[in-house]
Amino acid sequence: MDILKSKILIVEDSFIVALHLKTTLESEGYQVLDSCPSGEEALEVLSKEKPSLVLMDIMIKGDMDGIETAAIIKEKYGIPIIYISALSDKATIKRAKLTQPYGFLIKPFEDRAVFTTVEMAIHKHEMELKLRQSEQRFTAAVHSINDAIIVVDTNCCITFYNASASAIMQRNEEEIIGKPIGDVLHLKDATTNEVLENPIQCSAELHVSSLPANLSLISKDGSEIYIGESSLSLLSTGNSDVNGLVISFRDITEKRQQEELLKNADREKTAALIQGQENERSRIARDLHDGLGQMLNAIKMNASVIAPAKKSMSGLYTLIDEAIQECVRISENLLPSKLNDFDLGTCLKSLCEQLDPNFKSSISFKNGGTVIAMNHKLKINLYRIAQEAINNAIKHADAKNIVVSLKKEKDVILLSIHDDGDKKAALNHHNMDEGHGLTNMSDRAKMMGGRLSIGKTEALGWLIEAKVPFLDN
Amino acid sequence: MTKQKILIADDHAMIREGIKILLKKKKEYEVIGEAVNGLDAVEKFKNLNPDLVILDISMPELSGMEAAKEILNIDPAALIIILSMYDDEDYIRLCLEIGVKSYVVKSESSEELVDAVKNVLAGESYYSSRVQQVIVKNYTSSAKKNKKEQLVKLTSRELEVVKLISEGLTSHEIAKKLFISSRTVETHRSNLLSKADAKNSMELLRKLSDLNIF
Repeated sequence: MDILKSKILIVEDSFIVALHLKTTLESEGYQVLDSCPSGEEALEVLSKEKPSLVLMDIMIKGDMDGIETAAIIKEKYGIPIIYISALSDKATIKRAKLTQPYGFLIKPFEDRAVFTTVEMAIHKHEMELKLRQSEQRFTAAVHSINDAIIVVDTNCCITFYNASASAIMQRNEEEIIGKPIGDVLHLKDATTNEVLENPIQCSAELHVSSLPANLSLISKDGSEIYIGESSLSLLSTGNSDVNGLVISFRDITEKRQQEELLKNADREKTAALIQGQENERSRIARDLHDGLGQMLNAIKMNASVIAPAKKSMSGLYTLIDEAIQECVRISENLLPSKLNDFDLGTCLKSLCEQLDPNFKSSISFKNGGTVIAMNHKLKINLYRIAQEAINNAIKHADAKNIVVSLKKEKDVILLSIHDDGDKKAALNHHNMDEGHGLTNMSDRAKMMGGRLSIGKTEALGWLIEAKVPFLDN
Repeated sequence: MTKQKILIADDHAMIREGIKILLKKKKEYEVIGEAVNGLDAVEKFKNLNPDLVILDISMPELSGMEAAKEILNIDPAALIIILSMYDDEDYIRLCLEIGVKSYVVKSESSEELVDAVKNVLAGESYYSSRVQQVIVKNYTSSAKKNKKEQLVKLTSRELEVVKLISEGLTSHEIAKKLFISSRTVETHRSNLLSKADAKNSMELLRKLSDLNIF
């Protein structure tokens, strides 16, 4: 600090004292403005000059005394003040104290005491100014970030909050500061709706550094806001004592909406993909069956009219027959014609019976109840789920016994596939094949507004179960 | 001699032509109409009053089976032959239930169709050789099943236990649910296994399900 540049204003009605002070201070390198005998004059000077310090007598000329003038100066300009006065009674000191002076020199004073007090005051004021600026910067930063920040003391009462916190909770200072956190911050689990009694206390004890996931905050007007990206940090002041806890979190409603949108788009894409695949299969099956198959039949019929059963022709007829059978086989593999003509139960029964003799596995179908009339899409998707699950059980888990069952419970259709296959192999397969069969089954169930569950039961091995809401035509 | 009037319904012109050529060789038949789908077949049946209808099983608008149902609704004595690509038990059974007189698999020799026409017009039922094989196989397997079914007789308590096993409950859980001891459940379980000749619960369920017991 450059002492030479410090300007000082002296407010003193005694010309002698003022002159003495001015001379003394100037001899120490201070710039001293012309002294003022009254408060009014002092304020007049201050409207033009900005000294670093004011030396203020209490008993001065004019309508205001020194303390009243000092109060105005402090309020208006924030310039530090040192009183110089012969008065040292309790009442005066008490009044002077309220204006937070930087010193109080009692007349008569020694020159040394004046220098020390003046120097200390200027230094202290500068320090305070720096501190205040740093605090302002800090406060501005904390208030302008998007994360809500709340600080609680060791009794879980709120000692600080920022603008975001106040906005999310929709509460003002009066409703926040000093209140127990549990009374202000109402949190609940966004899925289970379970209210969290005091998430912070338990977190602090367990040394957890964030709030539980998937929370929503209930604001004052009752609206729910998803919050996340939270952190809990202990507040300590250098030594090991903990003074409280800093809680920060963020409104993630928009983020969640975005995620939800993405998920929906993804689901729609998958559904479209599966549907497209199904349409294409159906088209190829129809082309094979109605086009090529019928043509082959017609060829055979015409040939038999032109050249009735002769030995030389039998090889040709066999070939045509095989071609027809192959046509039917490929077409049936792509999309069983039965799905067009029969209910799902009949189709699944047929599927189980067809597979049965070809494998070491025994497959049984259990139709729990009456014929369930359902729309074609649902029928095909459930059929494909069963097909995939049976294939997995046979090919990857080497199952010996498989039971497929279909039933309707109220408005839900339940398709389950039990098998006693090698659990380990099946599990490995399920993991490895994540991108394929399992996901496909699960996607199909989701497409129908239902879900697929996979689990194993102690006695029965694997169970794949699709639950979908029942939709008739 | 008055010729017997036949209506052919198939959405494939090639097949209709083939059948026409086949039947032309026989002097006693006359193809009086051709329909291109199921609805068309029903309409032409009403208008042309044929003695016999040959229906392809898979046609647009109305399938062969649905058209057969409609026609038999109009005239329960109508004579119908279903022509099909499938030698499948369910299709054959459904057609018999509807009341068609004959089921012929397309890929069989064309004599089968000629025989079918002759027999059905004479008031007989006719099933081509492939269809007969399917019917017989189905009959024997269901007879076998019935025989087995008679051998496995479960008590109502055992049925209750099986039902809970099928829901994946452990013996202990079943015992709690039925207010009996775990030991009793184990006894039921081992009785069930020996009755069904099964090695484990899964095989038990599969076998009982095969027999339609539960």
